[in-house]
Amino acid sequence: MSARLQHPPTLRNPEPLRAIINGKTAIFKTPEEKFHALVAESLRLRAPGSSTDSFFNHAYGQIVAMGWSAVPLLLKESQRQRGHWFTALAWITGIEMVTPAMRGNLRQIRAAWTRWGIENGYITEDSQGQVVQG
Amino acid sequence: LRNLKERECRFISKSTTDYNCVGFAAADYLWWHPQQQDEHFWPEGVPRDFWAKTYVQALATVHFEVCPIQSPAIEDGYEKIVIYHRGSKFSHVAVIAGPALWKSKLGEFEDIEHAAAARKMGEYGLVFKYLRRELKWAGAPLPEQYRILK
Repeated sequence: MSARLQHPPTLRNPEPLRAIINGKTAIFKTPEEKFHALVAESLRLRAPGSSTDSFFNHAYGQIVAMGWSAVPLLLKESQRQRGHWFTALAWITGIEMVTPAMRGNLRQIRAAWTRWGIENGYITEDSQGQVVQG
Repeated sequence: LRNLKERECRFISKSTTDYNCVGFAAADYLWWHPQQQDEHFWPEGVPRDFWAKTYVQALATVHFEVCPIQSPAIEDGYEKIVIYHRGSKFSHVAVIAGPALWKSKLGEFEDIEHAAAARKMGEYGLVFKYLRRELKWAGAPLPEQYRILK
């Protein structure tokens, strides 16, 4: 596929939702579909069972590039206790939720972001279970 | 683990991304990682790299010291862990729970108990160092939320 766009994307005439999955451009109907494909790609790229492999990869970067549309999806993914998405949340929102004392304590960090998500209407407490206490 | 068959080990926790093998060995149940400092724990003053010797330094902050005699044998008054490496880079740390019985946290998966003899070196590399910590510094037991109900 040519990298050249057929027309400049505008709000009225947006480009299709694209992502690079496994080295190929894929097109999606909804942001949710794109997000979940990128989450799966991000997990695929991590060495299974590794404690040292970085969570950052090109799929993680594409999720961050989705911007605010990814925020409720990232919060729900965190509530499901899958993956580490808090850096992505911080980068998209510009909110530094994690204090130095919280670093490494994923339970506390998840609880703080979940509270923020509920307070700001991105998720509901019952959307994916209860808030996890730290 | 490709080389560790299910019949060779027993799952002792639920699968979780809340802590990793280092948090399991330290028994603080944090996710230790020298990078991604926005969300992961790494001790102050310890270099942020993946050398196995750096992990020895990191674990010294929670009172682990290099065993004077490098062996997996249990020592009275101490808990013992073993650091693995691949090409001098840290790859894994396991807890030595008894003679020929080790415990591991497998990345974002479960904690397992496994016979030391069943440990296949190819997966996590080679033994780098055995470390020990006096029992008075022992960490907390596995939080209830991660335990498998029997």
